[in-house]
Amino acid sequence: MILELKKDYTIVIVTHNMQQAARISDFTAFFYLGELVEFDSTAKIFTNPAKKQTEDYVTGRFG
Amino acid sequence: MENHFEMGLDALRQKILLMASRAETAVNQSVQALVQRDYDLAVRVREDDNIIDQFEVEIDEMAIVLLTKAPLASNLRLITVAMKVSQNLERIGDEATKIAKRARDLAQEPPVKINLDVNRMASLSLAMVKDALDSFVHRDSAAARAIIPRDKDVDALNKEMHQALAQHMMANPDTIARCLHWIVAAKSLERIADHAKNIAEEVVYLCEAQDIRHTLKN
Repeated sequence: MILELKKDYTIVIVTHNMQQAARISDFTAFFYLGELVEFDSTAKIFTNPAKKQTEDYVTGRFG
Repeated sequence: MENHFEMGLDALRQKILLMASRAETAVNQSVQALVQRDYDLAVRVREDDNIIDQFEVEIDEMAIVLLTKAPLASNLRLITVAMKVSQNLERIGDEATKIAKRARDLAQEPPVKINLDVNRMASLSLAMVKDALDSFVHRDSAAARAIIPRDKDVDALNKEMHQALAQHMMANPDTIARCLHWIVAAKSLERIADHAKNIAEEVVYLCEAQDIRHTLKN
């Protein structure tokens, strides 16, 4: 259904579940304590994030 | 405090290093057997190849288990690179076995009277393997990139040896069988350098998340 809806709407999902974010989204934004740390394509965020803080979070070093 | 997953990654790194050590030893010993006409050493190298093969199986198993934890970013790259590096190390072991087979056969024949700088070619190939593995251990992308153009030197040496052996065979047809053994051994050293280059390319991917395979400018 989301794949249908996204043709006409921008869909924003807020989640701590990284597998869900990676599976379903085209772009991912990482927020920490109210600050936007990094925003990029989902593939980039989860394979080669630019910011160390993002890397540390997605690899489970904190959070 | 290291968690279970981090310990798994460390164990994977250690396994790669153990496998690398075995592969390097196999190449060293196969070249020694070839140059020194050591039949027994050549036989031992062939027998030990199954140990290197087993490492590849174990590393793949460890990697698959780690992948079930859904690793991301640098951890994901490390695990996929480890699988590819182990595949290249296994192929290096196979090439060492091929050299050992030719060494075994040549040891049972009179030596060919031709000046071949196989030691130099072996040193260049082995240095590439060692440096590629060092760059993996130290996550040194610049060092990995520096290895890649060195493959051309080994290719050039292989071509030189091939030409020298071809000329020798034409002038001395009774040496054809023995010269063909040398041609195969030289080709195996050239393939070892290719695999070292592949490992270096994987290290660049590990460090930079950039795939530089099959690019014209490396």
